[in-house]
This record gives sequence, C-alpha cells and structure tokens, in this order.
Amino acid sequence: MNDGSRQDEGLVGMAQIGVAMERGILRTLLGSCVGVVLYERKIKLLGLAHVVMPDSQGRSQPVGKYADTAIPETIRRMKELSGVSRLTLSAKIAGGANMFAHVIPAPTRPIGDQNMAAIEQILKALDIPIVGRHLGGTAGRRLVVDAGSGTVEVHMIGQPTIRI
Amino acid sequence: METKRLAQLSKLVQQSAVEASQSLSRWLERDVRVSVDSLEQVDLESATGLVGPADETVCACCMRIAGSIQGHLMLSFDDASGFAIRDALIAGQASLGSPSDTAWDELATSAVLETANIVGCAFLNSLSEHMPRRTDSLAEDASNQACIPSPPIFVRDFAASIMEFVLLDQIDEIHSVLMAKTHFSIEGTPVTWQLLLLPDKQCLNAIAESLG
Repeated sequence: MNDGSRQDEGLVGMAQIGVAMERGILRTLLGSCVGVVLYERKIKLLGLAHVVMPDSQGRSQPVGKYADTAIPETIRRMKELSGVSRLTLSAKIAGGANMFAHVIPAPTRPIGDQNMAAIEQILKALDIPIVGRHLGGTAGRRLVVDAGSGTVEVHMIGQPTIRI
Repeated sequence: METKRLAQLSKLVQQSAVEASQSLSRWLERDVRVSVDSLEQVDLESATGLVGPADETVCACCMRIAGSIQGHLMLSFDDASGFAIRDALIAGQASLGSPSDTAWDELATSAVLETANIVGCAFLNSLSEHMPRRTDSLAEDASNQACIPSPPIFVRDFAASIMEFVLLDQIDEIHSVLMAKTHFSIEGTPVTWQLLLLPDKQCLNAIAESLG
C-alpha cells in the first residue's frame, strides 16, 4: 500500500509513506533525504518513510515530509494494515547524502545531517532500536525493502549492492 | 505565481535560451538550438520525475546560483549525449548516438562541465540582464543585481536522487517549484540534453514583484 499518486508500484516518493506485509516490496530513491524503514519481524510487517525535513514546527501536512510527523504516522499505518495494536519494531535508516559537500560549503548544517539526528532522537524516544545504517556520502541511493525478510538493499550507481 | 507573471517570465526565459543557443553554437562550432518547452509551477512529486523515471541513471552538471537569481541551474543528459559532447569538442565529430568511447573519464567530464558552464552562464547572464531591477532592500548592493553561478559539478546518479539534491534547498516552506524546461537540437537533430532552472522561493517572490 503506497499513498503516492504514481503508478509505479511500490515506489515511495519524496515525503511519502509506504507500508507492506508478507511478500510486499517497497522501494525509494534518496538523495539528501533519509529513508526510515520500520519492521515487525513476527508478522512480516514493513513501513517505509521518505523523510525530507527534520522538524514540522507544528505543521501537520504533508505528514510524510517531516521526521517528527512521518515516523508516528508510519507506525499508525502499520497498525492499521496489520490490525495489531502493539508492535515490536526495529529500524534501519539510509540516505542523508550531500552532493555539493565537496565544492560548496553549506551556510548551515546540511539538511541530511539534521534529518539523521532528528530521526535517531525520535526513534530513541519511541524505544525503537536502529539495527542498520547506511548514511552520508555524496551519492544517491535506491532502497529496496522486502517485507518477507526485512532486508534492505542499498543500490548506488557503480557500487556493489549493500544489504543492511 | 500568477499566470500573467508566469507568461512575462516565460518571455524572458525564451530570450535567454536564444542567447544560450548562440554561445553553445560558438562553443561546439555547429548550429545548436536551445528551446524552452515550458515554464511552469509543478508540485514536488512531479518535480522529482522531471529528468527521467526515478530509477533511471542520469548525468547532470549542477550549479548553485546566487545574486539576482537564486536557486539551481542544471544541464541533464543521458550517457550517449554526454559522450557526444566530448566527441564534438575533442575530435570534432558529430557522432551523435555513436560515441568513440563510453567511459566517464576526466576528459569526458571536463567536456560536459565546460559545456554546462558556457550554456549556463549565457542563459543566466541574459536572464539577469533582462530581468527588471530589484527594488527591495538588497538592491543597493551591486552583487545582488548580478547573477553568480557556482562552478558546475558533474553527477551520474539516479534521476530522483539528483532532483532531490537540487530541490532540497527550497522545499522547507513550499510544496511546489518553478521550473523552466528546455530541449536541445544540434544541426536539426534532437539530443537528450535539457536545461532546468529552479529558482528558490525568495527569488520567486522577488521575480514576481519585479514583474509587477
């Protein structure tokens, strides 16, 4: 189940949230944004949020855009899809690259870094352990996540596939 | 941005594309046309797909712009079109679609970066020149009336990832962006290069105000 308007099945776009169960596959393309994968192993339940900004600062929409609104909303949708009210979740996070890092000094802390810090803080507060990370660098990533196994494949152009 | 202002800005962008065509023709020593397909405001979801399907590998030369126009300018192309630029410059060949080599080595990268620099600067200089003068508090500083692009950087990455990199500066407060989309032809043959201008929100407001 993917709330995006694209026809591309399983693709979770910028600021969107996807959830899937059992044999579902979700994927997302990341640059500076961070993909947050939440997984409940017992029931093979998967959530994926494509987080763009660290803090909603009180804004409620779009709910998938900000770390502080996207993560709770992903959990809500996972509960809704599974019908299970108490989930034991683990998290994997990837993304947060900065293409311009080597050539143009950022006037402020790069947004990718801010996203990563906010996500780690929120997951800690929700008592969700982070069991895999693939963060930073200067190149984009494609994440392909399998609800059956919880495996996250990280694809980068010209690099071997990494599994976290 | 209102339709009337968008139409006014579109005329300026068209004019700038003509000047970019002239510079590029001199650089490549053949007739090159840069044409503006559209100038429109698009939502983020559509914007991330503007240079190709999300998973597609795309090449791009990206510049940050400061001064009277702020945002990003990007020349995007596929591998074959990038190698065609190199061949046209290095060997004087018009080998569109049949590159002499298919490695993104230093030579090929330098060729596309220089091309992006030339077409980008010609386009921005013209746009800046024809843009109504700023009248806000920043206008007294001459550097704010000029348009200063950064050196371009070359990337070869997923289409959606590249767009995310260039869009991220302007998506904090807005959920749509203004995009000028172009296409190129060399001696009448279309090539899959496109030039994308992405002004940021502050710049958009300034442009809208200056257009009256």
